[in-house]
Amino acid sequence: MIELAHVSKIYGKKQNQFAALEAINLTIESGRSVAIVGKSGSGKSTLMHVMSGLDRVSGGTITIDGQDISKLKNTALDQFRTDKIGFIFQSFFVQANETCLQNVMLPLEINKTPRSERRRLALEALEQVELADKANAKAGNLSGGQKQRLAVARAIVSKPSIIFADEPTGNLDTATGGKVEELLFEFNNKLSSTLIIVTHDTDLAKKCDVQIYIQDGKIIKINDLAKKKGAKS
Amino acid sequence: MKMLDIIARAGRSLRGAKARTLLTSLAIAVGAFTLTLTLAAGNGISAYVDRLVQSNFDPAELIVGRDKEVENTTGAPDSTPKEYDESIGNLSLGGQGSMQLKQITDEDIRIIEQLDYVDRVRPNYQINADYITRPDKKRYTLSVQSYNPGQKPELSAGSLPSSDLAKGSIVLPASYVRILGFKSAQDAIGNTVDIAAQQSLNEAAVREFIANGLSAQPGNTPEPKRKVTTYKIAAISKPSVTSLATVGMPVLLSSNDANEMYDFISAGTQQYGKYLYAFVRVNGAENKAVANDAKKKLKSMGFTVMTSQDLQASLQTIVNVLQSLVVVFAIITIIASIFGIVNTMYISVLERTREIGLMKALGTRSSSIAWLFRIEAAWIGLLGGLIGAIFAILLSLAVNPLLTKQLSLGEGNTILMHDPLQIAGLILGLILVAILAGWLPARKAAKLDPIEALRTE
Ligand SMILES: Nc1ncnc2c1ncn2[C@@H]1O[C@H](COP(=O)(O)OP(=O)(O)OP(=O)(O)O)[C@@H](O)[C@H]1O
Ligand SMILES: [Mg+2]
Repeated sequence: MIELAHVSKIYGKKQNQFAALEAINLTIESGRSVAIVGKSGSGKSTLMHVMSGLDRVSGGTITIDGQDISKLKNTALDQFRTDKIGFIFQSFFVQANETCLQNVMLPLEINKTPRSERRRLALEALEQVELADKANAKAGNLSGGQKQRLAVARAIVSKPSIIFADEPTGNLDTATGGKVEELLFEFNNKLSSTLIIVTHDTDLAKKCDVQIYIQDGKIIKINDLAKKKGAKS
Repeated sequence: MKMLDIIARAGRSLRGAKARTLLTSLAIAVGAFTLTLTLAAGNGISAYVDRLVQSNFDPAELIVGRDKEVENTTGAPDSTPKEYDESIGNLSLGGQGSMQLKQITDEDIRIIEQLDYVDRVRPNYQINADYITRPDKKRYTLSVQSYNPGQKPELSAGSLPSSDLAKGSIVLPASYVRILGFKSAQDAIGNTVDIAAQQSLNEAAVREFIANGLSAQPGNTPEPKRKVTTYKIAAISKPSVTSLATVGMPVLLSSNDANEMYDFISAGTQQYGKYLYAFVRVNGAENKAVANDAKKKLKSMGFTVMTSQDLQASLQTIVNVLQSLVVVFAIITIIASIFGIVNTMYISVLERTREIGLMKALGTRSSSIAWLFRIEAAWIGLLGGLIGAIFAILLSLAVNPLLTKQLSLGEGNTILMHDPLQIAGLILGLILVAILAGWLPARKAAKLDPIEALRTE
């Protein structure tokens, strides 16, 4: 479970201060799929960064599975991300000069999985995103959609409890983007890991259990489909 | 991240930038090459000095005299003018004037011989023999020394006793065999040669000359006394590549014969019964501590002393000075190459901003990121060290035979001697230097903000 209490993020100093996030209160149950929606510059990425422990809050607390990550030391926060978080970025960030297999093995290297295990786990993940045949191909030679699928494999290989995706389909056409979305929801269901997607795409947002609308650093609306569904049945 | 994975990853990223890595390594390789060769030359020359000292000096012998110059190992005599001493003879230095040296006397030698730690004493007879010859053969010049049983020359024929030579027998250098009419070295053994010595002009001789009614005028000088002695050849000595003798190999006489000849030559002069120094053989003085102990005791008795270790050290000092000069240059090269590494590593950090950002986002610790770059620098150091050392070894293999021949070191002796441990140490040192050079760029990488790094499009 992710709980944000009175979270704020302020950039700059003194006169130049700018509040990218203000008084955010939010609870996300484990295993849900969540879309963070809003205009450009509204603070979507900033929210994602503080929730994932990539960035520090300026005020408030973020509690994930009972642990207040805003109080963790740097190394403990690194360990937290290693253990719990998977990331997918808009511009893929795959290592072009390395093979697909090496790309997927990176999180396993970081979390000190024994060498003998890594290959097997990475191949498994590649298989799940249908890139097993590209295991030894250089990641730089893949198409955009393939690169993002590779990024998905890298995000799920260490079986994280939360996957953050910042505009995962922003650089892809509808067809290839659709494939990536499909995979993300598949893992959300199968691994019952929480999925948090930052997006402009309203169609994609609608596929999620929860939509969080944000504007000028504040939450203006939370739409909880599952709750409604639950209410209907 | 595990250290092993960091090392492998650093190696992989270097392979991704082969040309840059190689060029940076080459800068270090130049320093490594120079250092490896310098160290090798130092080893070779040290070994040569060892051999030189060991084949010319008995390690158990101390050089003992009365004058400070005996202890002077710099090669240049003290040039400050000294007060004239009536009791000391003047030593002519040829065209360079003369100097006074205090000498050690027969009396001193008797005292030293009686010391319990002294094995035997061999005065350094300054024998100026005139010539060596055989009946019906020409006369040839020669140098003469007393035989030292602790310092056996290599022989091409005959044999040597373990103690002193028998009186009347000599060791003849091989170069005299043919010119004195022997068919071979073996043929010369047991045969005889004649050696002539001339008595120095002394007061008694001049008095006798005047008493005989002759006046001392230029061109009408007293005829010096000459003595021709016949010696039996006990052995033929081989020319030695490490001999320090400047006038060819000496003819070796038993100490009795040497003493007799010196007494004859110096009879009636100030030099009679006096020597510049004597070789004092001390029991167990091959051991430095024993030698130094004996040195201290002899010095407290007013003698001046030099051990063979002192001599070796003084020769070694010259080698060390030359060596450190080259080492300084090599170190300057390495310092220059440090800037190359710093530069390369900064470029590498810039190029891989996104990779660093991704790794940090995925939870890699800052310290692991720093080590990634330090180890990348270490790989460059290792590569540079290996390239430099390998080229130095290859060069040595190529030029050693030539140098051995040019410097006539004798077969099997090389001037460039590589020591694997030394090379390993050198490479390890270069790796450490490279890691230090990579320190700042590594810090920069470790401090990168992953969000910033991942924003770069
Ligand atoms: N490091 C920073 N320093 C100062 N201001 C920042 C910094 N990072 C973000 N901001 C500001 O915070 C606000 C929110 O930025 P954020 O990146 O979260 O927007 P976003 O909703 O993700 O927009 P987009 O859809 O364009 O990605 C913006 O106005 C941005 O200029
Ligand atoms: Mg954004």
